[in-house]
Amino acid sequence: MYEDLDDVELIVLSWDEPEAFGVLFERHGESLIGYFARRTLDAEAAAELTAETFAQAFASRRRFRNKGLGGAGWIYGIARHQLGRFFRTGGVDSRARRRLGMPEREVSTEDYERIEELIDFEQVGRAIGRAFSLLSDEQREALTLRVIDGRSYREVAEALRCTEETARARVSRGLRRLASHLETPSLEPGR
Amino acid sequence: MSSIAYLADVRGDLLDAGRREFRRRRGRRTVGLGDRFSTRSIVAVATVMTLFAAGTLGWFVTRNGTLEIRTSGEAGDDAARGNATLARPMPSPAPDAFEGFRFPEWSLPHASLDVTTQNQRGPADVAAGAILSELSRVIRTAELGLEIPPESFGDRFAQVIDVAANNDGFVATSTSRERSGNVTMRVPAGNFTQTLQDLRALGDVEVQTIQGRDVTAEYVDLRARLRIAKSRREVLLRLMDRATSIEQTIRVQNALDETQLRIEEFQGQLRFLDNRTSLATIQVHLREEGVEVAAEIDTPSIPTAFERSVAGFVGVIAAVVIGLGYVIPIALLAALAWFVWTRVRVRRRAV
Repeated sequence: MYEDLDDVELIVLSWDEPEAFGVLFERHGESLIGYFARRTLDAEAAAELTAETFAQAFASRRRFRNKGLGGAGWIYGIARHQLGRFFRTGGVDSRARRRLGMPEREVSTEDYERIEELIDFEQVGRAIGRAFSLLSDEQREALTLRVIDGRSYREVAEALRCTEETARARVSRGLRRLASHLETPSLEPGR
Repeated sequence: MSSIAYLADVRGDLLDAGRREFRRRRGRRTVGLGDRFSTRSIVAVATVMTLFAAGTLGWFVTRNGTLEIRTSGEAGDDAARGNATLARPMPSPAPDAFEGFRFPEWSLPHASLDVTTQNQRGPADVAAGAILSELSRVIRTAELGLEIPPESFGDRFAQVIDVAANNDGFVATSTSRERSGNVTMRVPAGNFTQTLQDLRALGDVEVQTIQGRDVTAEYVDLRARLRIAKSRREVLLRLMDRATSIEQTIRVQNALDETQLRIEEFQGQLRFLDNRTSLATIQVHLREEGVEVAAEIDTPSIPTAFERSVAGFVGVIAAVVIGLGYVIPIALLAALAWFVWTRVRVRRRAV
């Protein structure tokens, strides 16, 4: 019944007909959980973030104004906000779910596996390898010693024959650069 | 449908929440503001509306004189002792109407005090009362807005001037347009009340403002200073006779000049007060029925503009504060009524 409607129409219709929101959820739920999973690498957090994002979208659907981003853009805007909060606080917000009276849900073992499939670790590994190769030799060497081998900065400095401050700076810059490469859309399947 | 059971559960929870909300709203039968606007917007709009309503109410209240209604009439000198503002419509003159706002010090030098002192106090007190009465100085001013019948402006304007003359007064300034005009007259303070009465008979009183500024203390103070300055002048004159050198003479002469200047200043101020208190000032605005009098435009100046802006600022704040005094109790009562009503409704449903 609602399948032919676009996202904006579904949101507007859902003011009085919650079923329309259900269709919107079906349309974007799985891609959103994948979005969160690839960024958090944590299936449980991704599931909760998805639930909270949709709960917040549902609670504020009457305030939705189409600013040219469409319904999906609006939902992903809320998702980015949730993700930022998650990285800042280390936990998933649950206010919208509580406000709507939604129960807490456990993520089953089967769901864990399905969500992790969405992460596509193989692709993540390839992306990390690609990003790693884009670092300078010094940064790559410093990161390998510090992050992969788990050696102290003094040992890293001795191995690289530089001061400890320089070793710290190389590791820090390397991590930042790695993170920036990993933020590229190459991790987004289908994009 | 997704293969992830968690998502299916969440979808079901959302639909349940939607159904609950739908049932709640159907119970309410109306779409809540909270559904369309954020709480912050509602609070902001409600605050602005409340302040606006309070300001309007305060302005209305102060403008229409509900707080300022003080009437006038046959109250005689009492009217001249205080500020009295009367908004239309003016009722028939009411005796003793100024009883409510007599300032304490005004009752000191007047006849009522004389009577009580004669009954209860000795001759010395009576003498003191008589001196106070003699010294009593009140500057009386009044402003009267009269609406007169159509086509009668010429006659009434002439009658206003006659009223001034009949009460031993004179017209200080007058301006007249085709069907409206202003007259400023000075009349002896003793004829103030009678003059106002005569003027009120010429038309319907729209606005009447009577002010009485008691300058007795200022007057007494000036007289004392004058007396001291005169004594000082006597002393200096005697010193002048004794001066033996040019330097001494110059010093005493300078002091004498300064004292003489002060004496003349005091005398000038006393003369001014005498004039202002012996002659009352009455401004009369005549307007034929149906004629709108254009607001007089003063010559614009920065100080005037600044004063007006300050007065406007204070006026708006005052109006809002006054209005809040009305709005808050009404809002509290309304909130209480709403609270009781919702409780009753809930109980009825529960039965």
